[in-house]
Amino acid sequence: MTDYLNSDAIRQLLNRSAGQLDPSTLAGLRQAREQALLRHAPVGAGSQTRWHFGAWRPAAATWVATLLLAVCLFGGITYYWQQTRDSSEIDLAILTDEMPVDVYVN
Amino acid sequence: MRPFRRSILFATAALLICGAAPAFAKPWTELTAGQREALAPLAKEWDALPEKKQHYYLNLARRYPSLTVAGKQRLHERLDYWSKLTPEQREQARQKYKAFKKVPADQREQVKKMVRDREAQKSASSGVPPAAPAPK
Repeated sequence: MTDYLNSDAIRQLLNRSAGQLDPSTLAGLRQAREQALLRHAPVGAGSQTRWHFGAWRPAAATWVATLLLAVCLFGGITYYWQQTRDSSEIDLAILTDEMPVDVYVN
Repeated sequence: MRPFRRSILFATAALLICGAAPAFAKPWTELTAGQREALAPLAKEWDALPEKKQHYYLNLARRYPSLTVAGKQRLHERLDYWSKLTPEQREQARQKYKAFKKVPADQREQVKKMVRDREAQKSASSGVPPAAPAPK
């Protein structure tokens, strides 16, 4: 036999076979499918009272990490410029003060 | 790439660019006329200054237009001296300045008078007006 089955042919065969199953087998398969779907339900869909940290998707953790990094970065940059601005303001006051600078240095 | 993730990546990139941008070194010729006037005593050494120091002096120059004539003159007289101080000496000066500001006004005036007298004596004996001394 030289004919190979492609994916469409396989799907058609499976559909045809499923149509020939007896009702009790179909009911069993449907129940198994529903149970499998329930086990993989999104966090919070079944119970809203508990956190399921273990069920966090990696993508969500990546987003949170990126967001935290961005917040830290922004905070750090803001703090740095604020410090620079503060010191330059006091320095300008010293440099324009009536008192000579060496009074404060020595 | 989903829009949410893309927006976070854009935000991070924007933060990095905005944070780094002011730190880029600026040649003397690219300063505005106002900045060059304010920082004139540093003209010769400006291009060799590290980015961080350039940013610091540009911050000083930002408030130059609001200074009085006497303030501008003092700044020009002292800027070169100030630039040669070590970071520790500058920090010491800041601490002393802050402490001096907390002294009662009458005592502060007495100290100022003493310093003025000392400067007058120095200039009378040397025959030149008082200037900022070289750092030790």
